[in-house]
Amino acid sequence: MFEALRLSFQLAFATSFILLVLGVPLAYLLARKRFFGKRILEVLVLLPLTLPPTVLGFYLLILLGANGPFKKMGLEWAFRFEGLLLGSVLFSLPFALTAYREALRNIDEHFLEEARLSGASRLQRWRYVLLPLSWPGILSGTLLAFAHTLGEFGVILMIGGSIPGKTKVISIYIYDLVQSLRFGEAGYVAGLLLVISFVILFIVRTLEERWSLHILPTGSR
Amino acid sequence: MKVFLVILCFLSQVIAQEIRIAAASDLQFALSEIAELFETENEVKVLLSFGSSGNIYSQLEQGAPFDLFLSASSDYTKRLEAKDLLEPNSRKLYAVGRLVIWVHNSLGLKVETLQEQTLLSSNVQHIAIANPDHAPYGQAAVDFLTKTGLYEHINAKLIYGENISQAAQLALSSGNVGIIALSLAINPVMQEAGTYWLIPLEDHLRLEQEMAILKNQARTEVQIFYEFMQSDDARAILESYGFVLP
Repeated sequence: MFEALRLSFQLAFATSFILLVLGVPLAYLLARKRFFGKRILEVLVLLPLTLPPTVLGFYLLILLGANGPFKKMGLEWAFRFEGLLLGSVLFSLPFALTAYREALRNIDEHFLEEARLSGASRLQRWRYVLLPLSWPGILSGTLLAFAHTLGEFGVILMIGGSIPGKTKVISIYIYDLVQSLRFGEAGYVAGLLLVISFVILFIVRTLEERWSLHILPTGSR
Repeated sequence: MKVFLVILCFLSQVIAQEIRIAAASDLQFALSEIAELFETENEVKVLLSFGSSGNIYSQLEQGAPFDLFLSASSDYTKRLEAKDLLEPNSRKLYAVGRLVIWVHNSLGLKVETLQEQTLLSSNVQHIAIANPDHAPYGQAAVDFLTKTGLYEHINAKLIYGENISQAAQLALSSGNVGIIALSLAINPVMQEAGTYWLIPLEDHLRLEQEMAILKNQARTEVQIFYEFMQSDDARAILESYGFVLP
């Protein structure tokens, strides 16, 4: 069990880290810029929300499998951690990005304008205006992606192969326990996961609450 | 940085000596016991992944990283061989699978005396079988139902498991009936909750269970396990789970 739990946590950490690094700039573009094809991009990043995991898993299996088109580039990632990671990033993308976008969109343009007028560079504007005002939203989005990855099942079922210690994450572990008729253990692990998810979501909600109290009344600082 | 750590962690596990086995779900309990025995005698870690043979076949076709495939039929090993995905001459019959009708105690049906007529009882609401599209035990169950002429009478009651151990779990959880592997019906949980009737071997598609080493995976430890599967110790375990031995 610890092996599967450790793997799920590794996957969740790596996924949310990648989403944080790639997602925040992308969310900034979506929240505050206008550009050609923006709506298409918005739809694309939302797509994993409505697609069945089997569709995403199927495409990944075909693209990253032994006969996949990227094999020559060394991207034979099906049934490997890297494959699960790519699947998880795509699958949690809408969750993280929606939270990031809201956080960045709610920032009053005046602050950025002032910062710009007082000669702050782009990096300084991020450092002193954007991030301080949006971090609770960014953190809650990242935690949401983390929790969502812990709970991921369908995509991993399609591309994982249930290899102990390598691709057998906690959700698959529970699935296999039920199939091997070990209901007692399955109930125990399922309960543990329930508690973990509850705690993470509780933190997310607390952050959201604080953030709205912090932003709405004065809107400054 | 974190990603590199994760990947490093991942690599360090690959370097340790281990055998990755993909096995048909009817081996769920028997193979776990065999692997445990093997691990006490050898300094090798055995990683077991279970599924329907057809599902494993598709995964192997997509390059799933396994060393050994223990199938529930010779169909899929032959197809892999035809695609040049196996070590030459490594296909080997290790057991013949048996099929049973398993009945939950709550139905109050005497399956030993009613035999296949059990399935026609109005007490039976669901009959769980493995998905015949990719599970050999499901194919054998459908073959049995067709041969006995029962299929048209009961096909509306069929529910399908992803593989044979999920079919057993469905029969158990629904408190109904399953046409499942003897090797699973022998498990204490199934024994306690129900009784079974052994379907005669000649009444269904023969489950010639073959194993094979995957192409370029014939490392020493893999070969040792492959030999071990044919040893008296492993055969005794297979026999205790009701398999007919070659």
